[in-house]
Amino acid sequence: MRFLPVLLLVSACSYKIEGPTPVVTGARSERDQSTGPAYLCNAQGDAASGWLVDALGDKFAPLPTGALVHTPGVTMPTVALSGPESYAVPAAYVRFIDQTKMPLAMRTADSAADAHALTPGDYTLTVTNLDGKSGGAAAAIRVVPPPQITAVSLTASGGTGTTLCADQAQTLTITGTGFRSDKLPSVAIGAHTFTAATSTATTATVTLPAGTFAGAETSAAGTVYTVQLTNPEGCMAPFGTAPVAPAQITAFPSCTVLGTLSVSPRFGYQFRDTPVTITNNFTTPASQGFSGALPKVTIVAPLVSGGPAQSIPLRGVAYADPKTVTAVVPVCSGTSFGPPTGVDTTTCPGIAPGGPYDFQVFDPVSGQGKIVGAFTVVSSPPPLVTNLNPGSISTGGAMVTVTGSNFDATSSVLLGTPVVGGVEFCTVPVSSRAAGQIVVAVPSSLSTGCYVEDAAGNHTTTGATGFTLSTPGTAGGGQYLVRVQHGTDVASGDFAALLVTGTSLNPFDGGVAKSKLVTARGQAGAVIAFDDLAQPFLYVAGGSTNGTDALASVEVAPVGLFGDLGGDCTSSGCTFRVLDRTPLPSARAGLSLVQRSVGGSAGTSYLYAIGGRTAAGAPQNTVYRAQVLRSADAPTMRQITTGLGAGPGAGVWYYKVAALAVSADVPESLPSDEESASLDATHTQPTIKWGCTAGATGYRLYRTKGGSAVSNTEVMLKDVTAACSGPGAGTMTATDDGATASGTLKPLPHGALGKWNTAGTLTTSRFDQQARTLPDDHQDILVLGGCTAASGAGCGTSTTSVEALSFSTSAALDPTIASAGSGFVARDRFGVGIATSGTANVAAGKSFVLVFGGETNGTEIPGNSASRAQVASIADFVFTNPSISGSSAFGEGGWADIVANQVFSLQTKTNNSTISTVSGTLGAGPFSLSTDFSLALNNTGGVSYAVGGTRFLPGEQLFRAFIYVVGGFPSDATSGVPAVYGAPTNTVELFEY
Amino acid sequence: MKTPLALLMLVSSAAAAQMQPPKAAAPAPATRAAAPPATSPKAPAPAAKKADVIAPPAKPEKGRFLVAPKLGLFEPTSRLSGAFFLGLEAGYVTPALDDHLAVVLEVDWVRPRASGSVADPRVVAGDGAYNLGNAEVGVLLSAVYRLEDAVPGLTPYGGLGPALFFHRTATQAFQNTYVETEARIGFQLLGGADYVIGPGAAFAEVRYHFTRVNFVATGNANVGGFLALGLGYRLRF
Repeated sequence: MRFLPVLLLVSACSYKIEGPTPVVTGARSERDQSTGPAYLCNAQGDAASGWLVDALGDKFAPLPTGALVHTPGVTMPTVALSGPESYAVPAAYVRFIDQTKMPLAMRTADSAADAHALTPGDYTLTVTNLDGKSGGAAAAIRVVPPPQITAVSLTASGGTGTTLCADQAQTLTITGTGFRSDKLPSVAIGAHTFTAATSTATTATVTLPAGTFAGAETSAAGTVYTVQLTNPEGCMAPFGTAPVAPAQITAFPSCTVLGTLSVSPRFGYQFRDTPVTITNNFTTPASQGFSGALPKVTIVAPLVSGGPAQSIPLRGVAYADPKTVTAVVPVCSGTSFGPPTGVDTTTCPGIAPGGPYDFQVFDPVSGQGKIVGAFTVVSSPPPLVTNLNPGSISTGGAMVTVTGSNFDATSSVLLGTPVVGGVEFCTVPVSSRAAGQIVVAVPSSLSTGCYVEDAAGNHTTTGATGFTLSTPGTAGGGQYLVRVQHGTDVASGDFAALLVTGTSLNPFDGGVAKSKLVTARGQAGAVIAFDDLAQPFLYVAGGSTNGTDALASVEVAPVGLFGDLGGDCTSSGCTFRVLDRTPLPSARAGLSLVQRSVGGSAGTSYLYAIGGRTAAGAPQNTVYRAQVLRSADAPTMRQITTGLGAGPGAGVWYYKVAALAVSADVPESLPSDEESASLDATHTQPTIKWGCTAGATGYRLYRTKGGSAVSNTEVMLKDVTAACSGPGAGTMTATDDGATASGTLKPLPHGALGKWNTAGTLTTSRFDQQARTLPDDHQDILVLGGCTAASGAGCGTSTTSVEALSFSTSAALDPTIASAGSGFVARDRFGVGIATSGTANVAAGKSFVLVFGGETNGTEIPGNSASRAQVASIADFVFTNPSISGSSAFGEGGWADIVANQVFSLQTKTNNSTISTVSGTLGAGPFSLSTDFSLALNNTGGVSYAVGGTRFLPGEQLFRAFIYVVGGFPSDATSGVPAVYGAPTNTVELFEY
Repeated sequence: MKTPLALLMLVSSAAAAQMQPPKAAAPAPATRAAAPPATSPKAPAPAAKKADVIAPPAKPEKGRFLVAPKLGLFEPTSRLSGAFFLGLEAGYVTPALDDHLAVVLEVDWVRPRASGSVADPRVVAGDGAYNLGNAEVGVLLSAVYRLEDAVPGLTPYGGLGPALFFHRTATQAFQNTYVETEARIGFQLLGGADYVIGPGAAFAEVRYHFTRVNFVATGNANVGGFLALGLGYRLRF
C-alpha cells in the first residue's frame, strides 16, 4: 500500500491519446471510379504519384504535429493492405481530402520512389488513426497486372494481318494478357481513340469504321502505328521497354494486297548477308503484283545481341518484275549498316541464329504481304558442293562421290529434277563418308524422302512420288540437281548437275534459250565464266552480222541452275545485257573466247579474247583479257541519313555507289546494293554513307532520275574523290545537294567486265581458230589452227600453227606465248574437244585434245581423210591421226564436244547448207597415249537445229549438261555482199546430253 | 521523470515533517504566550520562569495556516496564447527560519490555446486549420519565505518548489478532435507581497513555472510561462 501513491502518480503521468474510430467502407480508383473493389494496376502510373485510389469511409483523422515547436506538420492515419501480401502504404503517399476520403498515391513497379509491385489479388484496406483505432474493408482493392500485347491483327475483305486499310471497315483484334473485361479498355491508334467492342482477359477487339483515318494519316509506303491498349484503371500496353513490334500496324490508303509470297533461299549463314528472291504469286484483281515502286521488306527477328524480335529492314531491295523482288537479308550486318560478312558476332552483330523468322513485304502501290516462317539463320556454314565423280552416269545408277566442304556428320544427299510446280528432290542412300566427301549409291529409281520444292523454296510432299533416272528428252531428265542437306540445320547446298547419259550418242535438243542476243551474230566468241560469287554467265563477244563485217560489242546473260539464260526481261521476253562500257578494244570476228578462273585475291574469272579478223579480213594476233567484275570490289552501302539542306527534292530516291580506279583491270567496280532515301519538307538532303573499296581513288554515285522513280533505274549522279577513314578500307559519305544533274551512265550489271587489257601477242595472226583452256594446274590456253589469210568471206590459207599460252601460276594473268607441239594438220572452222577423266575413259593423270573436221585453205576436210580427226596429249601436243571407223566427213564451221567417252560433232557440209552430224565413241580406253584412241563414228544424222538454219560459225560452249550454241549464220552458202552467209540468228540453242 | 518525482516526494516529506507536532524539547507554538499552556504538564518549570524574565513585548497573534484563492493572467513562453488563470493555495507557516518559512500547496488551472493551419501537400483539400487547447492542472508545492510585516501590514514573500502538471491537449482539426493527456513534473519560482486588509491580506504575485509536454500535436515543448499578474486574498488562521 505504501507504493500506491507512486503507482497512481506513474499512471497519471503515462501518455494517452483519444480520438475518433475510423470507419472504412471501401475504396475507389480515381482513374476509372471502380469501387467494390477498386482496381489498381501494380505497374506504370505517374512516376511520383503512382495510381490514386481513394480510401472511403468516415472519421479519418490526421493530426497536426509539433504545433508549438515548429511549422506545424501533419501525421496521417496509417493505411495498410492485407491479402496476397501485406503492405503498409508509406505515410508520404497517404493524402487527405476530408474525414470521409483519403487518396492513396499507390506505389507501382514503375514508381520513381518506393517502387513496389503488389501481388495481384484482392486486398483488405485498413485505416488506423493515430489513437490506434482502426477500421477496415475486405476486398476493397483489387490489384491487377498491366496488360501486355503479344499480337495485333486486322481483318477485312481486302486485307489481313497488320494492314490497316483506311477505306474499309476493319476489326482489330488485340491478343495478349491482362486485359480488363469488367470494363472495356480503350485503344489508341495515332490520334484516334476507340473503346474496345469486346474484351476478355486475353483478347480485345476494336471496330474501325471506314474512313476513320484520313489520307494524311496513311501513305502508299505504309504509315506505321503502334496500337496502344489502356485498361480502365490506367495501365497500358505496350509500355516502357516492352517491344512495340507485336503491337504495330501499318496504315495504307486502301487495302490492295500482294499475292502469295515466298522467298528463296530460306536460310542464311550467320556471318554472311544473304541475297534472296521474293516471289509474288498474284492473281488480279484479288491480289496485286509488285508495282515497281520501292518495296519495303523486313524480317521480324531478334538481333544476336539479344532483346525481343524487331522489324529489321532488308537491304538492297530491288524490283525485278511484277512477280519478283530481290533483296539482301542482313544476317551479318543486322541493323548496323556494317560490312556484309564477318567472322564473329562482333563483326556480324546481325540476326540471331534461329527462326524461321517472318518476312513483311510492303509495296507502296500494291499493298502488303507476309511470309510466315520465311527465313532461318543457321550458325554453321552451309554445305558447298564442288565436284562429282563421276560427273555422268547411266540410267542404271552408280556410286558417286560428292566432294565439297561444310558437310556435317548427318548430311544427306538428294537428287532433284524439274517437275510441275518446282523441283522434286529424293534422298540418295549414303554409302560412306570421308572428310569433305560423301559417297552415295545412286539408284536407277528414287522414291525415298521425296518432296517438291517450288521456286520460292516451299516444300511439299504432295505429288512427290519419286522419279526414275532418264536420259535427256522432252520430259526432262539427263541432268539431276545434287543437293547436300545438313542434318543439324536447314542449310543445304546445290550443285548442277549429275548427268545421266544414254547410248544414243546424240544430244537432245533442248530448244532455244529464254534470252536472245541483242545483236544477231555469227563468227563470235562465246564462253561461260564465273564471278566471285560463282554465278555463271554466258559471254558473247565480237563476231559478224554477215560474214564480212566485224563487231566489237560484248553481251552477257546469267546462266540458271537448269541451264536456261536470264538477262533483261520484260513481258516480251529476255535479252542479253550489252556491256556497252567494255566492248572489245577493236571489232573482230572469228575470234576465240576462253576463260580462266583466277583464284587468290582476285577470286573471279578472266576472259581471254584471242585472234580474230577485222572487218577488212586481216587476221589478228592480239590476246586481250578482261576481268569478270567481283562483287567483293563493290562498296558496301551502309546508310542514308537525311537532314536539312539542299537536295534533289521530295520523293523517294534510290542510290548506288561504285568504286573507281580500283586497279588497272577495274576502272569501275560493280555498284553497291541499292539504298533509298525518302525526302520531304523536313528531310531535304540525303547523306549517303558507304564502306570503301581498297585501292579505289574515287567513287561514283548513281541516283534515280526523279523522285519516286522505280528502283534500279539509277543513272550517274557524280564522282567524288576517295576520302575514307576508319578501320579496314574505311567508310566515307557524300551528300546529294541536288546541284548535279543526273547523267545517262548506268551502274554496271552483275557479270560486267573490267577493262580489256592486252595480255600478249600470238606468233601467228589468225581467225576462225579454236582455243581451249587446258585442264592443267595453271589453266594454260591452247590455240589451234585457224585461218591466216582471208579469201572473201572464207579462208585462203589455213595454218598448222599451235600455240600455247602458258601462265606461271594459276593466278597469273599474262601468259608466255609460244608455238607448241607438232603434227597438226592445217585447218580452220573445226570442232575441238578435251578428253579428261571426267569426260572420257582417260587414264589417270592424262588428258588429250581432239580436233574434228573443218576445212583446209577453204576446202572441207573429206571423210576419207585420215586427219579428219586428230588427237594429241596435252603433255606434248604431238598430234596423231587416230583409228577411225566410219567414213563420214565432219563438215566445217560448227562444233564438237566430248562427253561420256563419246564425241558429238555438229557442223555444216560445205556449200550445201545442210547439217552434218557425226557421233560415236572414242574407243574402249583407258587412254594413256594419243594412239590409244579408236573412234567409232557410227551414228550420223538425227539432230538439227530448231532455229537458225545450220548455224554456221556459231559460238559454242559446253557447260555442265548443256551445249550452248550461240548465234550463227543460216548457211555457209555465199549469197552476195553484205549478206554473205545470210542474216544470223540472235538465238541461243541448248543441247543436252 | 524519476528524478523530479523523487524530488517531489522528498520535498513533500520535508513539508510533512515540518507539519509534525513539535518534539517535547522544542518550544511549543504557543510559547509566545505569557503563560504556559495547562496542557503541557511535562514542560520544565525553570524554563517557564526564565521566560517570564526575558519575554519580549507581546506581538499580535497570527495563525500558521494560509488559504488563498487567486486569479490572474497567464502568459506562456511557448506559442500558446495568454489565458485566464485560477488557483487555490493552502499553506502552513512553519516555525523554521524564525517563522519565515511557509510550505504552500497550490492547485491551479489554466488553458492556453493555439491555432493555425497545416501546410502539407498531402492535405489536398481544405485549409488545414487546427485549434489546440492545452488545459493544465498544476499541483505546486512551494517553500515560501515570508518577510512578515517588513513594513507594517506588508509582507513580501518569495518561493520555489516542484510541481506536478496534468496536461490535457484537445486538438480540433480535419473535422475531428484528438485528446492527448499526460502528467509532467515541473517547477516554479514565485514572488509577491500581501497587505493586511481585513481578516486577511490581499496579495499580488508573479510566478514562472516550467513544464514540458510531448504531445503529437504540440511537439516536445515547454508549456510553462509567467503568471504575469496574479491577484488574490489570503486568509491566515
